[in-house]
Amino acid sequence: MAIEKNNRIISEVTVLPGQGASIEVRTGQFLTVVDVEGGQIADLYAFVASNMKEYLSISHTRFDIKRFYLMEGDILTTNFHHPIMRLTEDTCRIHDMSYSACNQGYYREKFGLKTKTRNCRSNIAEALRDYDIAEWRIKDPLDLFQYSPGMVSMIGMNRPGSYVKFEFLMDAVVAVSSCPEFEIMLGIPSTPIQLILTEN
Amino acid sequence: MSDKIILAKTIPGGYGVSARIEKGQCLVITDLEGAQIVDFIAFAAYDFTKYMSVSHTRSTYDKYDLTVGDEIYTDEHEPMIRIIEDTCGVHDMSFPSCNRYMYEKMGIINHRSCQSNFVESLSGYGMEDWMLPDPFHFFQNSPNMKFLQNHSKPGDYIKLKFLMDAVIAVSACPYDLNGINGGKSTSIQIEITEE
Repeated sequence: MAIEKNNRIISEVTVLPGQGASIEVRTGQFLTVVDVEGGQIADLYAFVASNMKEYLSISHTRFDIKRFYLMEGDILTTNFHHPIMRLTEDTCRIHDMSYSACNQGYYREKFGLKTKTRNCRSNIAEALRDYDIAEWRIKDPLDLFQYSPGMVSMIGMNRPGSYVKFEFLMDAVVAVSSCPEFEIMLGIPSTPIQLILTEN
Repeated sequence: MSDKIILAKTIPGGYGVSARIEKGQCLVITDLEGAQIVDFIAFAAYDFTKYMSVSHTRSTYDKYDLTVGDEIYTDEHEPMIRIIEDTCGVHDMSFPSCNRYMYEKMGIINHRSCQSNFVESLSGYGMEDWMLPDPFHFFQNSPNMKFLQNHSKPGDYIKLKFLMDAVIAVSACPYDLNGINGGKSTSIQIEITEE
């Protein structure tokens, strides 16, 4: 299970289907991100609490781990190459580090969608509105539970209850979006993501 | 063929430059001596909250390697630049710019970096390091996040047509360690042209 007996739960946040939410995490605490019903992509962002100009950077992490995929024990880094979080458990093991977050322009340019839709970038901006993060500062996400090896996207690989657990190495503000793309493009309803904050 | 040259600049190895470019104009970036990585970033003119994004471009095409005719997108998913000519064909869309933190981790202090070149060349616009987007690394041969010998020969170039007014910055990558850039950073040329 995601939460071992000796871990104390500090708080839980439910990211509603197709929406976003944020949570503050302190150094040494653990954040578990659970795909409650399975098959749901979760875009994750993290900003350093003491200086939000520093953030989890997927390109800097790729450089530091020299790979396009994560393994348990990997340290993820910021745009200043500082360690921000360590992947301590991963029951899914298939995530994406290549795609941008979906935004309004993505649906318009790639799929010709004319109508305004929910999207991960504005979900994250909404979730971070108390922190004054403009949309241009929301760069590349860690696309948890996204199965797109070689940039070929496929759906629904992860089982209900799949989770990843990160130990935080800095105080951070984390925002997660339950990606609405499959609902918008394929009619597959978005489902919730559970965030569980614990400490040993 | 008979393009009018608006601006031509040679940039010494390890240094950078910025320029203003108008919609319809072309930017030609030439690797003068071969095997030299050129970091390239672009912003919508005078709106630095809209920038060229390699990740949005990857997402558009579901691929990591672009070819002639492909377009490079902004972070708002608008087509910004079209690749018109490319004599090398091997570039990178995965790495961040080299930066002082990267060199400091290797114990090297005060090394020039693509990031500091960008901050320097865009200082007139108030650019700071944390604001910079990920770059295109022209002529960089690094499949699967592994540096290999660059393919570019002296005179290889890429020609980009701009689909919107922009401010661009290029850096002749100063990374001269472990044989990257052929072990020493060499000069590049940029030309802005108009039909």
